[in-house]
Amino acid sequence: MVLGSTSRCPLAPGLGAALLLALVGFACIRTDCSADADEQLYLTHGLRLPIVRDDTQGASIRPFAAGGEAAAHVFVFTLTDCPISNRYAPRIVELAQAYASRGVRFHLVYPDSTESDAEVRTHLVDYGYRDVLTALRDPQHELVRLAGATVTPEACLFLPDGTLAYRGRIDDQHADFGKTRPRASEQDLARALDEVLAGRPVSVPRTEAVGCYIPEP
Amino acid sequence: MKRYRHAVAAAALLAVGCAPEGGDPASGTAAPSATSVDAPAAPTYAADVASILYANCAACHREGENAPFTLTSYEDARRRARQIAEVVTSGYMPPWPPSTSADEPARFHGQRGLTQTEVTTLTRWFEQGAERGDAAAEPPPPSFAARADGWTLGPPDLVVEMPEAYVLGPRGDLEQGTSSEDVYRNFVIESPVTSTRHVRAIEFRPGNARVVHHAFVLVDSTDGSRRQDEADPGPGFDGIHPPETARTPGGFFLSWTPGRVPFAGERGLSWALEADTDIVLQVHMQPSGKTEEVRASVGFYFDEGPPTRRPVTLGLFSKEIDIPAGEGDYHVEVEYRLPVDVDVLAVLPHAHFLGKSMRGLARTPDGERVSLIEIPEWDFNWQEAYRYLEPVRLPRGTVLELDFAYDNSRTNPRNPNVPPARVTYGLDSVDEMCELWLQVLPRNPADGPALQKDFDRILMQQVAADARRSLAENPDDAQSHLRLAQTLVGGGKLAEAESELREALRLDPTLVDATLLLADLIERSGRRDEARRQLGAALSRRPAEARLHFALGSLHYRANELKQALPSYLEAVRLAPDDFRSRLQLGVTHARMGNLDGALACFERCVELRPDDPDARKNLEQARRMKARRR
Repeated sequence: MVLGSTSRCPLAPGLGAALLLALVGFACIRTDCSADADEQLYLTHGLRLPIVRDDTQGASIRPFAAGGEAAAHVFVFTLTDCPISNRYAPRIVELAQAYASRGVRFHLVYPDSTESDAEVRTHLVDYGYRDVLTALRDPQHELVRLAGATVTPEACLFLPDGTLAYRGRIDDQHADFGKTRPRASEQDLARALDEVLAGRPVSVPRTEAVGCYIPEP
Repeated sequence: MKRYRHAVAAAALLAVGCAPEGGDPASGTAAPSATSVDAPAAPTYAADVASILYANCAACHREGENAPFTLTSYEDARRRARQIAEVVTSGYMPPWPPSTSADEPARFHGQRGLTQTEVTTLTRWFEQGAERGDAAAEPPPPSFAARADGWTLGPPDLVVEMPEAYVLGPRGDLEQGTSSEDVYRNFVIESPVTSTRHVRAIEFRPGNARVVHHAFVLVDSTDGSRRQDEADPGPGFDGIHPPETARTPGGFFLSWTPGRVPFAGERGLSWALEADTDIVLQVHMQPSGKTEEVRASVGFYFDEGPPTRRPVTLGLFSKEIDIPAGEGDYHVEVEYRLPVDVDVLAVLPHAHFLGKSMRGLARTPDGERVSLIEIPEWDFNWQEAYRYLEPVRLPRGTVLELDFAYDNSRTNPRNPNVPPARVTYGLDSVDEMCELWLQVLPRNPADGPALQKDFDRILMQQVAADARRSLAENPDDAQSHLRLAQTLVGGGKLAEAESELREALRLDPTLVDATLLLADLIERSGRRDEARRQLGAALSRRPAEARLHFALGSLHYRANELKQALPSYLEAVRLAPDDFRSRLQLGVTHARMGNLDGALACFERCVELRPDDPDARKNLEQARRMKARRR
């Protein structure tokens, strides 16, 4: 669901809002339908997001073009202060490392416009992300809408042709707020990745992620 | 919960295209509250929401406190508007497991909850755009008494801190693998007091609020907890429970959960913190994704004198738990009839991860049903003690009833067994428990001993039944033979008790409690030499066990063999310098042998250890008089 226009309408009046609304509608229709050629174009060419590294200031990249030959792209949405996504940090790092050799590129996406680059940098170091994942910022929620992400952590797995092959939880450890399994019993993201890499269709392409809602921009 | 989430999402969709009537959000002017009857103005942060959040959430959701994020400004709340709406609707926040209603007068100390109107305001605020309103009209951010020392109850009389920090891994104890795991650990701190102190209140500081989820403070007067600590590398030892020798002191249930308001206590109502005991912190930690250090501390607040009221701890509990795999609604019911009139001061329910719901109620002789506590959705993470604002008065003859329900099916996400397995009573996280503890004051203080005796009788029956059950499954369990023997002694069946103790010691010759009880039984039946041999044999195996030396000394003492008693008492005191009993007996032995200086030193130390003990004082005074006469 990307129809979060309720709070956007009063927040950004004027021409900007009109443009933004048009864009929202556009992206929304796309993710709700199956991928088509237009979407692939949009994915690989249209999206350019700020990147956060130690040495970057105001730099941006095209995440879908990066590397060129990735077998798949995984975007994991996170917030610097969400306890649920933070608790997953070791697992996210572990998955990124495990699948790197198989051509899967993991990106961490910070969708909250109120977080500063400095906060993001500190977060990358504190949680062991810095040397493993590319960190992107998505203050305008372009990627949020494209992927249809709603919470953190939520993992979105794209194929090189731009198809959203999987969106949802990393595993099933969190059943609800404050309701966790002692250990995860379903590895949903890893299973989807294994299926994609084996050239099979993803058996469970959508799951419900439990976490902190991505704040409206 | 799921149901609510969908309801909120649906409401959000319905509100698409909203432009709240009666206010211009872009200009930031507040909507006047009287617009039209049909379309009430959208709630705003300034006019409606801030006051609710500041009064009910900000105590924890603020800088430096336990909650994971702050809710002390408009931007804080706007970012979390949807989550706020969801968790207040489901009742997950504010955290308050009992089924009390904020629309009725509060029943418990520190009770939390939102009124229906407040919940509606928060959900409507999210649905209608989470507007700020007139920023100038916002209530000032809440100010909490900023204590430089960090103690809510003021500077404590004594602070006890974990001697070293526990390092919690990014995913708990797991090095790698598929997920993270909560850590349950017990930390043992030697009591620093050299003299009995009467504790009126405690305040627990988690040391790292980000990861500590709940904690209990217990006291162990044996070396049970200390030995487990020594056997486990690193600070503390693993387990959701310390050994049963770690007890909740005097019926004061010392629990902590995030946001708990510490109870300042009442004068005259206290428990005794003795020298030579260990303070045990039973701590549940949730890994945060990065390495964390945890160093908890406890502040103690002492009362001026010894207690004037003596509460009794009653328990409705059962060890007869046998939940089949897959059973989704298994009930354990327990009853206890009050033999005297009481006031119930506090309650503490306890179960593990299969616990689903619980209800404790009292049926008075006139048939009135008084709810004691009801928890519709049991959550191990939010277990704690509940203290009544007004004690619950119950007449004698009242039947206390406990009904605990368990879900051992696959649909219980907290089920530690995947797939579900048969679960029985036990202290481990994969076992279950069923308890409701009550701290009660007999209305007539003279009824205290009778109440205690009646409850102990029930307790003994339970322990005996449990020990027999364990032995039926495992006849070689030395501890169960010992527990059975203890109940048999209580019931006067000494010969049976003796044979159980011999069996326990055959299985585990190092069981000190079994040796002590057996020697006592043998001595009582007149076989003093045999008792002596029994203790001697145990001492050859455990020469550093102070209690065995004390028992041997006392055996000699009772036989009027002071010369032989003396070295045993000296050794007991050397091994356990803060043990009151050994010191007192050594003093008496010294005195009777004419060593008044030795006796005086012992009694002075005894009075220091337990200033309120009448025996210590009487002996000290008498030794002083004897010394004066001798001059």
